[in-house]
Amino acid sequence: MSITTLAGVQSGLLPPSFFTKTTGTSSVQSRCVSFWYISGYPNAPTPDYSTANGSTLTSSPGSPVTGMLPFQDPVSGNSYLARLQVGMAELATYGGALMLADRMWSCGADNSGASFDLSSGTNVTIASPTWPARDIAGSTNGDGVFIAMEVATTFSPSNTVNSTISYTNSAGTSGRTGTLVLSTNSATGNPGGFYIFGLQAGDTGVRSVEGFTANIWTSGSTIGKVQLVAFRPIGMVDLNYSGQTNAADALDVGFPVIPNGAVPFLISTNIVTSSNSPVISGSATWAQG
Amino acid sequence: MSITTLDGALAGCQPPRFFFKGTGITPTATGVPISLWSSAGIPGPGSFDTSTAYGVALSSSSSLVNGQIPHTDPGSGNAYLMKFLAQVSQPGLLLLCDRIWHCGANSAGSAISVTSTSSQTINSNTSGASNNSGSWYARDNNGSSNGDGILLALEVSSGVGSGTPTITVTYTNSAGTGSHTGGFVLPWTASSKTGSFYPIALQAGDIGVRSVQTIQLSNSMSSGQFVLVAYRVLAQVEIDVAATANAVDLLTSGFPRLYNGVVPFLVFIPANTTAPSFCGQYSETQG
Repeated sequence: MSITTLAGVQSGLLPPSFFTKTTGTSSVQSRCVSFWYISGYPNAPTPDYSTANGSTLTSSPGSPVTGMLPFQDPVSGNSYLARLQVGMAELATYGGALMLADRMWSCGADNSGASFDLSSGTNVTIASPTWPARDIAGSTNGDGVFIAMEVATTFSPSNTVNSTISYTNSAGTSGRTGTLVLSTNSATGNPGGFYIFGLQAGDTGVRSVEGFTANIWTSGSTIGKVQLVAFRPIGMVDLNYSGQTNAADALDVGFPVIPNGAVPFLISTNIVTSSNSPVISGSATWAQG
Repeated sequence: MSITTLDGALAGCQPPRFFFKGTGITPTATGVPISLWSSAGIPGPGSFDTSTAYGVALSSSSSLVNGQIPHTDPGSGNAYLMKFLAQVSQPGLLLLCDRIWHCGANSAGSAISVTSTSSQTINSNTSGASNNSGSWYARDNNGSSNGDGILLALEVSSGVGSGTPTITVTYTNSAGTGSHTGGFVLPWTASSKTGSFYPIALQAGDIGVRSVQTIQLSNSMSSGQFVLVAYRVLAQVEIDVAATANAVDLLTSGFPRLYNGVVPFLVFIPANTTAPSFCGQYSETQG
């Protein structure tokens, strides 16, 4: 069963899931920010830096993953994103965009269970587990699944650097290399910093991660910690004016399916350069049927 | 079959695709468009071809083309643009386009010379192994290969030198009339950077291009390389203020048809020369 009419959307609407978060101590324009480890509602989970190869994330009825937007699998039929609404009320100058994504894997340690050494500049081995079957096609292949480096505790890189991952693409081809879409630089190592790895030519997603090379800390800087995250974007809403609120409804957001077991979380795709702590508030509304 | 109601659009929604770009994209000058085709990020970079005579007609029907935003043809019915959202770190206009054909070689299969001032033969309408037997794929405004709405641009594939030529492209228009000519819409900027995307004007009365016959530079570009591109604009979003976002949906975009084999890619018209970064959403509905 699936929803194929606007009347079906209306009859399948669930109460909105609300969120309100700050963006941390500061932010940099046009850098992505994940709200996973940012205080507010939903509450922030505790980072894991010791589980070898990280953990896949799946919610189940009555057992949400700490940090996720409230969501529960349907009794029957499918779940959809019916509305995404947000306001960035504290921003002084600019708006931006907010992305809802499905968090599939978090990894703060290599295959030996050691947290990532941000100063090593050498590759560490990771054997990521099989993703949950929540890629674009509902499989574990990874089509539409991307990898990001997420800052969990502050670090202060002294210069522009480029971390890399080695991965297997969604078609099963291994030995691929991902480089950061935006390289890091000073003042970007604040909690929530979310640095997405680009894909090699022809790839549409990531099936697994085999290695990670971090070179983002030098002597004299503040050492922090990062995690690798596998995520699949689901929908976005745009903000084109200062302090604006906006919403995308079922048609406007493209009525994407939310797979069973999803772990919805938020990524701001732009925050103004600011030493303030802007606040975002909003809601996601699911329809099921 | 086609989608004629909002219910139909809703029922046909496809999983959205997303793009993230931000490395190595440097506008040449304010107002000079820049293509994101060859830039790193998500999707991964596309490539240029400078050795295939008559150029390469592009289609995603059998396999995705490196550099394109992913698309899968519908099993039946039609595909339409459902949503196009973009956030850009700099103000400007972001165009979503269908890349129809690109060509970096003359009819002999040698790279187009950036120093020669002689007329160089392209002949995209000559049957070749890689150019759909000399026709665009049927993706013009009317779903035909005639070329209505198909435009030409010169895309810098490797940063060029200090020469400042004008250009004359000889083409056949969408009505089938040959020997029409076009030059740069914008003045050429010396030392244009990789990705710079210079639209080529149409002759009076023309609404598109069916094929390309020749290209001629008025003087040398000194160095570098470019390719010719045939493309159709599908939608555009305006970025009024740096780092803000904007979107069009199925209605505000005009619900453009995405013909089978579409190769979506992005072109940005910058309001300044600061290196921009991009992210956004591309959604289709099919039915």
